[in-house]
Amino acid sequence: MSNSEDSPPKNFETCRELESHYHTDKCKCAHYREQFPDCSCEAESVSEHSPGIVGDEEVLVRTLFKAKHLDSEGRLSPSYFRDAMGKSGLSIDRLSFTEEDKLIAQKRATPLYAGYLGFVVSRSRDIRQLLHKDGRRRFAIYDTATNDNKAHAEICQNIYFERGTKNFRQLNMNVVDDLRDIFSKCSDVPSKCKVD
Amino acid sequence: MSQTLSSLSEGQLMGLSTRDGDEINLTVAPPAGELVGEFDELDDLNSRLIVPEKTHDASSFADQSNSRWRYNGHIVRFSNPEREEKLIQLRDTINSYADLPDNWDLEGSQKTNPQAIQDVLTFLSNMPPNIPIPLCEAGRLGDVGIYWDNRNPHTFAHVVFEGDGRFAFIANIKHPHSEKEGYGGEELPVNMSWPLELVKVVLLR
Repeated sequence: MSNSEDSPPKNFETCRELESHYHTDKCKCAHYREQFPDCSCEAESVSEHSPGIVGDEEVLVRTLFKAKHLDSEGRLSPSYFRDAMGKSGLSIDRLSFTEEDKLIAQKRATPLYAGYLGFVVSRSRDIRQLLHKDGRRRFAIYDTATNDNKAHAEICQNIYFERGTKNFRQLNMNVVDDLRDIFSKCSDVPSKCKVD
Repeated sequence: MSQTLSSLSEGQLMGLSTRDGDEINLTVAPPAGELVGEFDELDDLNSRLIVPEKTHDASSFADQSNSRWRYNGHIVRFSNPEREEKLIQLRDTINSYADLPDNWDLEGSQKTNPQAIQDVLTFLSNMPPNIPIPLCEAGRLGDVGIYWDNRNPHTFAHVVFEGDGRFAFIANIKHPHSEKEGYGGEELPVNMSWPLELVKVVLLR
């Protein structure tokens, strides 16, 4: 994975250009925030491979390759969501554009697979409805499809509190708390996950 | 929300023993093991139990840590075997984070900071006696967390230790149709008494 943390940011005219350039960058979400603030890239497809922008009613699936982040009730521990979405984004799959068997087979074929697969789901509308106190949206969902996976998308934090911001730990912990609330418990197949 | 020591019935009392001369163990059956003490009620407790004290000045009960309360130089300890077993399991799990390698979640996680483990154990050693045993987690950035996640009423409290001798916490009460009621703090020394807001939210029933 590339990392643009130490290099000067490039300027892009379109969201698709940004996505194409920073596709695997560890700070991709920061670039979205800086160059296309307020989730504006949700309005256009950011990937040429995408079947279309992510709709509000879509069910989004996050795959786990280790059970280490799960508590005894099958819920993700709070720290699971911390940090990742502020910088590189949280990879998810859009259930509307894949099939469960295909998704499972695809995940088993990735280098991350080490014998365990777990799934948690949420609905994009619920993620988009999470607001900061000032009314700004906490998260954006981009259709970052790849040639191999048209269902791929990513959740980025639209507001991220950097170290140095007053009370940044509490602020980021509250962001995580909100997101954790709207993801289901973990299951071995996405269809068993309960989403409201 | 909680009972006082005076409401501890003799039927709930399972045992009374003395250890090292000054330490008094009161073993009570669950849920009495999670009783909240109100110090001005201890005279009543003492009148019903044979506690080898010379004086009864309830105000001298000041130092409480875990299930141990100090009284005029004596330590009164309420023990609940089930709770103590859970505490041991919690500490064992937290200590086991020291063995996690880099990338233990296959998603780029860092090794757990040994000082973060020490810090959370120090914090837990000051846990008030009536607090439910929390869940614990290894963070992806080498930190360690403990948390309580209740659904009815819906409350969530999370304490994070990064390994610098300090902790950050949030404690939220989630009202069904209004904004959540949130408390929090950070840069707090791990050896301090637990923040009252944290205790309040965790104890909410």
